[in-house]
Amino acid sequence: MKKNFKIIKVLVLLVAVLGAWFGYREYNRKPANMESMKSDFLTTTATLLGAFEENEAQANQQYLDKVVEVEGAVRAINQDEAGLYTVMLGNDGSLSSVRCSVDGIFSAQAGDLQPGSSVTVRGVCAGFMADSLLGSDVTLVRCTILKK
Amino acid sequence: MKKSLFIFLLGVCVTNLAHAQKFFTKAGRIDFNATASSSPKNILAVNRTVTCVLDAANGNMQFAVLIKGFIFELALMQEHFNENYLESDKFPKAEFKGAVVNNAAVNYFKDGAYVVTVKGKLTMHGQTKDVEAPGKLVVQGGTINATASFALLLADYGVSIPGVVADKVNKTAKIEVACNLESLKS
Repeated sequence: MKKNFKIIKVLVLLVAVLGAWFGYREYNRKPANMESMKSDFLTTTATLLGAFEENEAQANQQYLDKVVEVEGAVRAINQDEAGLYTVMLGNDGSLSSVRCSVDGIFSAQAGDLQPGSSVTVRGVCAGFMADSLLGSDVTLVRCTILKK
Repeated sequence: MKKSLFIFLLGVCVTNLAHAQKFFTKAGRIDFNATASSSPKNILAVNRTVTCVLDAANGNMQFAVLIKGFIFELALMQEHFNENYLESDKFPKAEFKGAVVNNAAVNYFKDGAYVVTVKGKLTMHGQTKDVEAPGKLVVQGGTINATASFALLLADYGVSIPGVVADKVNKTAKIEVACNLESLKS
């Protein structure tokens, strides 16, 4: 009887420790590093923009929250005061773009980019915005630069 | 006479051109900070894909952001922010439409720093509220650095904090805006 009680105590303690360990790990979990993620979609700037411009609801179902790898020309590179980069992919003739908010751990790669060069970026699709004045934009977040 | 007329017309054209000028960015930054003194970690999210348009003629200003574009340091915070608090699948965007109240005091075509007040309506989580914020416009070499800071009460936007974490999340979020605006060539 005493032995059984001891085993139960040990089991309860074990479950508590495992629960605390799991909770701690889950609480401190970092967002996935895009470099090691598998892409759900391989596409180009024009195809991705076209899909959202044609049918936003359908494109949202397809791409939203998914890991998207997109190839295109660098139109602009913006660096904020904290040194973090946002890279715009698109053509010079249009204001529409795929905006790539680059993960801070990949800032060095983004800093090397040149406007006009071809690049492949992987990130999570955060949605679409369209404006009559500024054109349309698909936003990717936590991006990494794959090919320059 | 002809010369005077030419100079007058040129002046009118230049003035009109200047007044018709708009400035914009698609890579503005907004920080959302709901850290409370008892928060175990900073509840800070950064969005670096903010759209902003400023019309120099009348001071009209618009911001638009995707809620899913806010990035937290911790994945769980980001999931809760999107799924439980801001419900980004239901309300994917937030936007501000307003104007620089003291627009006449700003010379958008002369380098300098101008203290401004921006007033307008902020729509977030399906709720629209009036917002007024102090800000600064720094004009330099044809570009404008626009910054502003204000606080918003999450309850005003229908964002409720569950009781379990009520004392860990600030009921008032501090919003900081920083945009480098360039001339919009139409």
